[in-house]
Amino acid sequence: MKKDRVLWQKLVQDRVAFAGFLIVFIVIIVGIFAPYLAPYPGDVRNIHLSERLQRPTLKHLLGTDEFGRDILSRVIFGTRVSFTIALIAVGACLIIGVPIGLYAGFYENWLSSVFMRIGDIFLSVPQIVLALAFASALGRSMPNIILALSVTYWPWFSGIVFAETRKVKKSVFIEATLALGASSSRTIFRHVLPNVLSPIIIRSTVGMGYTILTAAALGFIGVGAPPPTPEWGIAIADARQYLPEAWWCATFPGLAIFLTVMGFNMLGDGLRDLLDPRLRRGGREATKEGE
Amino acid sequence: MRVLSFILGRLAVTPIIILGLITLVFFIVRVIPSDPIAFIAGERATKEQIVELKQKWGLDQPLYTQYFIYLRQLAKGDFGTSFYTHQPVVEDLMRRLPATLELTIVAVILSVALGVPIGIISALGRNSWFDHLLRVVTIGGLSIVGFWLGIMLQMVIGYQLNLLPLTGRIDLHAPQDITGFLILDSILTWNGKALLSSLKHLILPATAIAFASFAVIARFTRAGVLNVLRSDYVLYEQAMGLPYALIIVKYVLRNSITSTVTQIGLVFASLLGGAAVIEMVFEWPGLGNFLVQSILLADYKVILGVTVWIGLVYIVMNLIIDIAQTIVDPRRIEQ
Repeated sequence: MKKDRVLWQKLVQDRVAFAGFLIVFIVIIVGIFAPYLAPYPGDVRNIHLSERLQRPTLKHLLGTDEFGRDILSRVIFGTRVSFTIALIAVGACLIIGVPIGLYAGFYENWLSSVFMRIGDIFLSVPQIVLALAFASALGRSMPNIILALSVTYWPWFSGIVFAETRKVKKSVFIEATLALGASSSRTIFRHVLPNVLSPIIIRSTVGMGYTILTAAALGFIGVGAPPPTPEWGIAIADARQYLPEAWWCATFPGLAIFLTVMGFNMLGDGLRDLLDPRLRRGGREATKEGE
Repeated sequence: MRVLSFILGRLAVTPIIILGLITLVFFIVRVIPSDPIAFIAGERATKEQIVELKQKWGLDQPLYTQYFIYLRQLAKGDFGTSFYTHQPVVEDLMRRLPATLELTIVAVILSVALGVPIGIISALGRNSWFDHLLRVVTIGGLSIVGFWLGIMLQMVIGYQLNLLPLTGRIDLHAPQDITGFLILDSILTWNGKALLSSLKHLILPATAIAFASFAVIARFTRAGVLNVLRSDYVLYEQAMGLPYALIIVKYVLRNSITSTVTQIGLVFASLLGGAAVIEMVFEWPGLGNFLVQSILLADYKVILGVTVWIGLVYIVMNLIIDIAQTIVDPRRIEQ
């Protein structure tokens, strides 16, 4: 408990990290209360052609799109879509990646090599390329896009857990635990896992933002969530043909993505400084993640 | 000796990874629920026509036979034929590679020219206002949607200010095709207009790409310089009374450059195909855009070909970086 409080105080002191935390918190609240916050909750589906492509006014703060739908409402509901995708995808990556990484790093046997080489295959192409191929093969739907993102992203988790587990395994206290007769599974879950938790937390935070970016790219290309889902990437794609006159249609969904991802990245950056001084601000673990 | 065995080990694993990638992509792409033949044949095709087409494209064979046929083709350098253009995929790949390379090189030059000095200044003035500003700016760079930034640049600089072209690589007659790199070809053929036009076309897409890679390079440079600054030998040199500027230039920068160079290599590799959506926004005739177009057409032979091709380029690039890094700094084998 005390350790947590110290961590929290440090987080508050790091202005950038705290700002990131606030952004993420606000976006979550907006997502949860979307039906109450959105001025026109019905505009997720409703079409009002008489009000199409209206500039931002007091009635429609961010303007309307080509179907006359209120952009603010759709941006607000978009937080739900992006969050759902990112949360489930990152969750799935954790479920697949963490046990594999723990196993491979702890035992370092032939099966470990098999697991890690399979991971390497997925890492041998930029993630967006593989996710595009996957998503297009599976067809447009929310579950499919989540599947495409998780299947192509889990090796990032197994890789980091593998590397950390190997390091921790070499330490004296693990040797002592095993010498005292603790079973391997007990050692892994009670002693190794807590010590590799920090990089997992950091990876997940940054991964949330990264997954939101990739999901938007898939939506933009037209292999992501199906319309009329109020997805930010789709909104930008649809808005392109009305540019530059209807600038508001493309600008605001893009800003929403930027802000949300920025929140996660700021928080992740701060957590990295707090939890893992060795990793202090290198960037994303490796640049393979560049868009 | 350990370096050599490490390198040999890496070389031995590479074919396995490549085979794994081909297998993975083949089965992913063939999961396509929609029947590719239905697309090609159109709605009015008769049953006989469909059977004939299936035979023609080898789709009547069982999936694993198709897989082995594909492997045999690939081994001969044959990436298959597009359903739509009826052109061999490999021709398109070769034609599009220079376009992607040219864009990537310019984007990387931009990000290095900005990222390296800014990273160094930021590390030297650690915790100064500039360092904090850089932190926010680089996090912003990592958070921005590349394709959206591209669209915003098109809207403001292309449409409103009318300063730069919106899409494409060049707007007049392209110079004689020698290398496929328009800048190089323009210089070789002494064509000033073509050179200017191709440079103008490069600015917006390269900027849209460079924003994220600049952030990565600046952050790694900063971290690298800080690492060296904290080392004992820098402390020793300071104690010996060496001028600060000399220590920085001669020891710190020289020793911290390896990590930055590695990052530049990784950024470069990741952009060959990784910038697909930005290429699409700017209608850039590169590899990434080719992939996107083939996906939109459900042209699975092309999807397969481009993905494997991008994978090959990426794997080889990473291998080279890995080997170079090991030769420069053999200590990393331990890790």
